[in-house]
Amino acid sequence: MLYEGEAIKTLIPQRDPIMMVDKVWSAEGDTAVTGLTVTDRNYFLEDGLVAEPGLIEHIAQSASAFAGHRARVAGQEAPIGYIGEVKKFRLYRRPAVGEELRTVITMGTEVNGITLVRGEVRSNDELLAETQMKIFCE
Amino acid sequence: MLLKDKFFRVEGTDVQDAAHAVFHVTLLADCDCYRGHFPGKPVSPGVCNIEMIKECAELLTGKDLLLAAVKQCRLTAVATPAVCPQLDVTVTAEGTGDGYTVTALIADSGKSYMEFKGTLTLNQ
Repeated sequence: MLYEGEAIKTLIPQRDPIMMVDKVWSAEGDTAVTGLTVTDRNYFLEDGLVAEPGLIEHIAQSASAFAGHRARVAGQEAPIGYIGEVKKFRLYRRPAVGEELRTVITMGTEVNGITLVRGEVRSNDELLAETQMKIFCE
Repeated sequence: MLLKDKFFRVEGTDVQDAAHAVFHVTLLADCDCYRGHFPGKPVSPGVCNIEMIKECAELLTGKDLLLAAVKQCRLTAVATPAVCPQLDVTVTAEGTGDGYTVTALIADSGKSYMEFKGTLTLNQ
């Protein structure tokens, strides 16, 4: 485990109540694995399930956490990332309170501050959602 | 609904027909999402704009919907309640077998903030 809980705050600028990643399991090359425990305080909880935009936000913040880790390793400050585009998002199942999300983030090349990112969210190896997105860093 | 009257408020609606409407909304500056997004620099989260589009589509169709797929959603400008409190959400919802193909635009008189193309399915 690379980062967990409070340590994530060194990677991303988001805070309570909308922090949507609580673990970085690994980050190597262009791939990182992040995690989130779904609690009853999740900002996007509706009828006991994380609503679809919440899964998109979890993937976006996971990508930001990866970018933040890379910045730290390079001795720089973690950048503020904005979602520029969401493409090919598919929802398969919304997770419930108590589920442990495990997300694989793959970073593409950065061109003019814009990076193409792929994210896949799983719970117990079951694919819950996936998307591509373009992240723009300040 | 998750965000209606918390993140945004509908001030008025122009319904053209069962598949087309423009929602005139206000971004609510006291929404608690801004505590964390970001401290000292409130920025409307792009995913909250996406949820706002979904909820407007639910108001238009009268149905409980799931965001099954986003074909493409471009965030063309950063929205904040301080800079652009009044927005127009234009929604087109064409019925399919199990839901709707939705295109939407979030804009004000100055510029566009989000262009959305996706699929919303009936939540059952």
